Amino acid sequence: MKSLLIAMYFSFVLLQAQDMDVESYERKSRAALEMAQYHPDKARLMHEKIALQLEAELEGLKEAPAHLAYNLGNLWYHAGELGRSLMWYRKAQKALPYSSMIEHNIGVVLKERLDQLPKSHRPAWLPYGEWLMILETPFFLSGYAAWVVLLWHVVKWTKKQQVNWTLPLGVFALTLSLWLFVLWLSSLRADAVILDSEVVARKGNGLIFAPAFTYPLHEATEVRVLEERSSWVLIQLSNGEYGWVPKRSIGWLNQ
Amino acid sequence: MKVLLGSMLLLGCFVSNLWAEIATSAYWDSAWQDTPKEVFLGLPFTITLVSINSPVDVDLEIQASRDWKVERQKLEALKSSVPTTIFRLNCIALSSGNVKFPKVELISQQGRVTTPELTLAIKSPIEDAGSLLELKFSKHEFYERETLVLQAKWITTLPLEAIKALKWIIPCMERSDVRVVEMRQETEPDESKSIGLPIGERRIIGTWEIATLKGEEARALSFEVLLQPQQAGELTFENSFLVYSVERDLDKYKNKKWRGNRYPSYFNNNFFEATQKSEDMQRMIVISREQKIKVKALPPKPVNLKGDVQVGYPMIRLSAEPKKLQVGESLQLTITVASPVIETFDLSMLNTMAAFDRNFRTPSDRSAPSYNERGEKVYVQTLWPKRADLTMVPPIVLACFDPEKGFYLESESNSVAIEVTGGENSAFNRAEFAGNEVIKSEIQADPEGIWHHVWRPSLQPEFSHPKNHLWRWLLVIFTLLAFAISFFKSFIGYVRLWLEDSGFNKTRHFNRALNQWRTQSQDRECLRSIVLEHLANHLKDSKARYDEKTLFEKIKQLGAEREAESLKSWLHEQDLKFSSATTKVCEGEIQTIVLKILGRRLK
Repeated sequence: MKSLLIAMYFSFVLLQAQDMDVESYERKSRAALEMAQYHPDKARLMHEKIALQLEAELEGLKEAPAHLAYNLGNLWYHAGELGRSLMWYRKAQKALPYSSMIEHNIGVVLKERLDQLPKSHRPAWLPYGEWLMILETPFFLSGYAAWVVLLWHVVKWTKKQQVNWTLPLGVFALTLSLWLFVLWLSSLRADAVILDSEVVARKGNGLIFAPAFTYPLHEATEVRVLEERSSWVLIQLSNGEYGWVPKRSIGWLNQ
Repeated sequence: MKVLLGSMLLLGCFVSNLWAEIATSAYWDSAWQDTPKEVFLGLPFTITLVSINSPVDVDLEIQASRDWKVERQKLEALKSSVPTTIFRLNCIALSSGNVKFPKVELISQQGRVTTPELTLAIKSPIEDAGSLLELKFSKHEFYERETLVLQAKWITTLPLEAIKALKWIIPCMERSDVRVVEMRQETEPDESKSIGLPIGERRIIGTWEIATLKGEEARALSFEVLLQPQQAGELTFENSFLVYSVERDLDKYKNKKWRGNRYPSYFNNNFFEATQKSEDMQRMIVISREQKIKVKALPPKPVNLKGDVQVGYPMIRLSAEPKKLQVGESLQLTITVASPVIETFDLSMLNTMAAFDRNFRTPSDRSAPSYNERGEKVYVQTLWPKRADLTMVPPIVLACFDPEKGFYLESESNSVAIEVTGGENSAFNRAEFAGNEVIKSEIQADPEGIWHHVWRPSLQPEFSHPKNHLWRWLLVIFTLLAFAISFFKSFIGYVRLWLEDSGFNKTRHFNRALNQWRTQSQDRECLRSIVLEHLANHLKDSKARYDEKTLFEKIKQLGAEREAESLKSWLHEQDLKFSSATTKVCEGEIQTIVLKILGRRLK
C-alpha cells in the first residue's frame, strides 16, 4: 500500500514535471559548479539565473517535485541567497520529511544565518526531533483513523455482550489528545522566510514606526505570519518577539 | 607652647590635605598655552593645549575648518599632583585677518570638555602685483574617485635668485576628502629645467621656463599633481597662495643666470623663519582665484558586481612561474596593470578575492608595485597552491566604473594554466612515526557544506526510496489490519475456525493416540474410542463421544452421509477382520474418512 502511494505520488508529480527539460538544467548547473572554482562571482550569477528559470517553470505546477525543490534550494545556496535556499529546502522537506540530505542542507543554511534565534517556533521545553515530524505527517492521522475504525468494530462485534470500555475509551482519549497536540504543533510552524539580505522590522505597518528590534533581520530567518495589512505583514520570530516587515521581503513556505 | 605647636602642626596637615583634596576633586578643564603673538598666513607654528584634571583616556577631537590646517602631535602627560595632559598642535593658517581657531574638544569615556574659543590675527604679507598664480583642473565636472590633473603655475617677473624662502599652499591639496597622488615621470626630466618646490608639507619636483607677463620677461614655475576627490558634492577650492621672502635689492641679480636645482630643492620653506627678521628681506604673497568643481556621485552599483569599484578601466595581465609545481611549493604571480591613470590604481589584496582565497594561500603583505618600461604597474605576488588538483591561476576580476561612458563594467584578466601535483612533503607515511606507531584517522561526516544536486531521483535512494521509519511501517500495517478486520469479517471467521478446527494440537493428539494404540494395546474398542473421540472433539459434542448413534446423526447433519456410512461399515469390517488386518491400512482409512467428514463440515 505504502509503495503504491509513493509510486502514485511520484508518478503524479513527475508527470507534471515531464515537460521540463531537466537535462538542460542539469547541464547548466554542472557548468556553474565548475565555474565556481575559479570564477566565484560569475558562477553565483549563473546559479541565480538557473534558479530563476527553474522557479519560473515550477510556478505552473501545483506542487513542485521534491527533488526539484531541493535542487532549487541548492542553486539559491550557491547563488548566495540563503533565504530563498531555505524556502525551497523547506518545500522539499514537506514532500520528503525524512530525507537526511535535505535536513543536512537546512542545517548548513541555518548555521550560516546571521540572526541568532531558536531553531523553531516550538516552546523550548519541547525537544526538537524527528518524532515531531512523524507526528505531523498524514501517516499519524491514518493511524488515528485506524484506531477509530477498530473501536467501531469492537463496539459492533460485542454489542450483544458485556464490553469492558476502559481500553477502547482510553485509546480513544489518548489518540484524540495526540491528534490535538499535532494540530497545536502544526499551528506553531513557521510559514514564511525572510528573503531580503537585511530588513528592518518595525513596530507598525509603516516606515514611520520605530524599529521593533535592536538589529535588522537577515535572510533565512523563519517567521510566523500573524496578520497582513496592505503591503506589510505582522511576523513572530521563533523567540516570540513581534514586528512588521514589508510583504515583499518574505517568501511563503505554503505557496 | 607644645600644645600650640601641636595644634598648628595638625592645622597645617589639615589645610594641606584639604588643598590636595580640592585640587584633585576640581573640574576637568583646559587652557591654551604658547599662543603666538604674530602669525603669518601659510607659516607653520605650534600651539599647546593643556588639559587639567584630565581622565586617563583623554583624547582630542578637532573640527575640520577651511581656514586652518591642524595636525596633532603625540600627547604628553605631566607628572604633578594634578593629572595634566598636554597636546601640541602643528598649525598653518590658510586665511588672513582675525581667524577663529577650529573648535577643539577633549573627549574621554567620562564626557567631553570644549576648549576656550581662540581667535588669532593672521597677518598677510605684501601682495605681489608682478606675479600671477593660476591653477587649472583638467575637468570641472567629474565623478567621485575619478582622477583629475591639477596644473599649478606661478609666473613672476622677480629674479628667482632673489627669493630666499618660499611656501606654496594649495588648500585643495590639504583636504582630507581629496587624495593627492604625485605624477609619475615617464621620462627622465631635464635636470636644468627641474626645480624642487615646497607645496604645503610636500616637496614636488616642478619645472621652470622663460615666460612673459604683461609684456615683461618673467619666469614660470609649474608642476602637476593628480587629485582624486573621495566624496561627491560641489567642492570649493579656496584661493591658493604663495608666500615668499625676497631681497629688497633686486639690482644685483640683473645679470645673473638662473639655474634650477632638483636635488636638493632650491627652495626650503624653513628659510622663511630665518629670514623674517632681516631688514633686507620683504615678505610677499601672491593669491590665485577661488575655484569650484562639481563632483558627481557614482550611480548605484549593480548587485551582481562584487567587491570595491575602481573608477577607470584597467587592463590586467597575469603571468606565473613556474607552471608545474607541487603542493607546498610557491609560484610567483606577476600582475601587470595598464590604465590611463596608472598612478591612482590600487590593487586590492588577492586573499580578499574568493577565487584566490579558495585555491591559494597568499601572504597578507605585498611588496610595493614597480613600473615597467611601458609605464605599466607591476605587482609581484607569491602564491602557495592549497590543493593538488588545481589547473589554473584564476583571472582577476575587478568591478569598474567607466567615467567616460558613465556605466559599470568588469575588467577581467587572463588566467594562467598551471599543473599542481601532490607534494611528497605534504603526505605522511608510516616511516615517519617512531616505533611503527600507526595513527588512524577517525572518519566522520563533516557537518560543513551542502549535499549535491539531485536531477535523477531514481538514482538517489534518498529520493527514490524515501527513508522509512519504524513508526510509519507500524502505522501502515496497523491501518491495513484495521480495515481488513472491519470490512472482511468472514476472513476473521475463517481464520478463527481454521485455528479451532484444524488446530495443530487436536491433530497431534489424535496421531499420538493412534501411535499409542498401535504399539501397546491394539485393542478394537480402544481404536473405536480414539476415532470417535477425535470426531466428537471436532464436532464439539461431548455426547457423541459415548454414543455412536448420536455421532452418526451429527455426521449426517453435516451432510456427510456417505462418509458416515463408510465409517459405520468400516467399523463393522474391523470387528470381523481385526485380528488379520494391518494396522497401517487401518490408520490410513480412518484418517481419510475422518478428514473427509471434517472437510464436509467446513463446507
